[in-house]
Amino acid sequence: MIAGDSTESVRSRANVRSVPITKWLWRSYVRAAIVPLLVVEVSFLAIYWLGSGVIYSENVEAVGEISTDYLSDLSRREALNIDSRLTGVATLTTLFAAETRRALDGDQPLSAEHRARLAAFPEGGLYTRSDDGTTSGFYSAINRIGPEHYAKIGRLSALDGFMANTKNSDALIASLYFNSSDSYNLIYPYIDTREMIDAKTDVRNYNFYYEADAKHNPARGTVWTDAYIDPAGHGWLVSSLAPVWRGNTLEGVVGIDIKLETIVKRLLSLELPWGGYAMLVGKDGHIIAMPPQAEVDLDLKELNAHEYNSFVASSMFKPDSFNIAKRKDTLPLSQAMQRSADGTIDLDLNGPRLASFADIAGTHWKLVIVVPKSRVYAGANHLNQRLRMVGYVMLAGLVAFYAAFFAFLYFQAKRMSKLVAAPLEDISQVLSRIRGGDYQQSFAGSRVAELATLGEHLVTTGAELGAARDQILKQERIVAQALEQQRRINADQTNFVRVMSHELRTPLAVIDSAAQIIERKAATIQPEDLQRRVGKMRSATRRITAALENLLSGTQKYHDCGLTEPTSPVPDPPSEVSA
Amino acid sequence: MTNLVGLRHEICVLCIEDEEELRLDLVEELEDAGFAVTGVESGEAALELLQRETFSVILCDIRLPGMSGIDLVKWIRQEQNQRSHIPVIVLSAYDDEPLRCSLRSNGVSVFLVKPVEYEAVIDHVLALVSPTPKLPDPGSADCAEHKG
Repeated sequence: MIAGDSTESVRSRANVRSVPITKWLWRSYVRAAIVPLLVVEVSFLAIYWLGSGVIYSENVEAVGEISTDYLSDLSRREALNIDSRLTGVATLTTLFAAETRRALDGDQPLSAEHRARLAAFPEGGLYTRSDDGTTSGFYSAINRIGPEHYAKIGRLSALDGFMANTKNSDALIASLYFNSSDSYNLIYPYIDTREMIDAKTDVRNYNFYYEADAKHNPARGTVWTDAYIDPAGHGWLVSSLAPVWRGNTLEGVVGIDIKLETIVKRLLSLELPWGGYAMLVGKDGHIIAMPPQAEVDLDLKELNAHEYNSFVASSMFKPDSFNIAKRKDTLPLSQAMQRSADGTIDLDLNGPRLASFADIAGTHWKLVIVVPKSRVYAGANHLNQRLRMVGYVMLAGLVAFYAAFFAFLYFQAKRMSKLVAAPLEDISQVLSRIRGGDYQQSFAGSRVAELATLGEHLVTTGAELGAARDQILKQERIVAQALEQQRRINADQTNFVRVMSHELRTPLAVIDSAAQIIERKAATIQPEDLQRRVGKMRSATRRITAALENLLSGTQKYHDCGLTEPTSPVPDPPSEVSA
Repeated sequence: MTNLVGLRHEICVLCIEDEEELRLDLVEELEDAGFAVTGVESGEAALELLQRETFSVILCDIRLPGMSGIDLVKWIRQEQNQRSHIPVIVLSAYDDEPLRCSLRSNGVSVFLVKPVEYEAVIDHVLALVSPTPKLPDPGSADCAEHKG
């Protein structure tokens, strides 16, 4: 770090928080590159996600509309097909009624063979006791059988060929029958009526008769029953009925049976999209036929077969659990059917379902096509999942890209900071060494031109500082030497003066001493003593003279030699004195 | 001082001076003034004498052969006996402030610069041995020059 431990410290003078170059570069990168890029990328991603959501919702809506339209169209088309098929049956029923009227109007006698096949119930009435490949007959014991009854059987036997041909012409047809107003039942193919039907059965009590009577069918047209149990042992059936009128007399009702299982097979044979299924709903809301898928959705078991443990004494219809108007889960469907002939609604049948219904005109049944919504929107959901997946991939890619980009920028910041920090550190150390007195420095250089220039200038400045300092030190040494020399000269001079003072004062003291004594003893002094003392005075005077000569000589030498220490004319004074 | 005129012979003065003419003149003048004077030429001789005899005042030169006058004064002042209080008058041809301070710090009573007036020396001796001597305080010794 350039500033060492103080790089993170708050510099009070500038009051600016300094940061390392790496962090500074990193922040610059973040501000200049990463943040804008991130904002743009996140914006794009948000736009993508929003767009995907809009696309999905639009797709769902479009798919919903398309599928609804398609289902409605499909249900109408299939209803039309079924109607066409049932219309064929109804037409045959009408034809059958006409043939029956004509047979009744005819005079076909009862053949001996036919009569031989007839047997009487113990209670009365007749039944066909053997199957010869034609029809079977049953005359209820509610009649007292007489010749006119045999005559009717004979006339109606004219229908045997027609009934067989009609039955064999259409696989949809299970059986054909005629029930007369006096409870004569003629049916093809043959059934063992003795075993199946109670002898006193009044066929007028059954739906397959009364639904076509004057009361229930005043228009005297062809009508369709709902599903019921066939007393003749064919199980669950629906019948196309047509009254046989002769004038204002209802002679009876003809019917063509279609087994429910046949209808179910037909429904199953429909090619429906999205794994859907179709079912038929009768006028009163009872489900006429439904495939196994519907059984699962409705938690029902279809009633195709029937165990005939006893005679079917009256009309037996499907229970209320098969009535969509009486089920909570199918009530909206029933209500929708009451509102319009066809349509599409959402249902919750073992999950979200889309139900489209259409009216089968001839029967006023409803064809209902049910499809699971999950399958309807599978494409849209799949597309949405793909879009989400693409979004996640984009997000992951974005994260990976930014991770890599962050790493790249981080290492770039580190590299750049080294590029700047290393020479700055060098410069700092160079400065530190110069501050420590090491002026001759070198700089390793930098790829940053300004730093290289700064380092070179610093090295040059250090060298110049060193040279200046050397010059100053040299001058200081010269001055110090001069001062020391001057001090020594001064000391020498002082010492010289002191020594000279001593050397002069001592003989002066001798002279003065002698003079004082001579003065004090002038009156009494002896010539010899006077002479001795004068001698001492003269001797002392010579010492002074010699000392002065030495002084002059030493001074001359001192001046001649410049700064050279002068020669001492006399011995040094005592150490403490000279100190 | 007048009272001491009759007692001067009891004042024993030790003179230490290597310059023979001066030592002889000093001894003569002091003896003529009535003092009992002993003159020696070196510090070592003075030390030997001080071991045997008692002196009232010591007159001492600074520059002596061997032991200097200052060393002699130091030796006397370090003694733990009567001698350590003997007044010392220093006579020297040297005269500078460092010397004066050194003498003062070593308890020298009077410093006289040569040549000296013998009457002044006699007065200082008398003053130092009088019952109320005007002795300078060794710690704040008067560095003033006592010239005769």
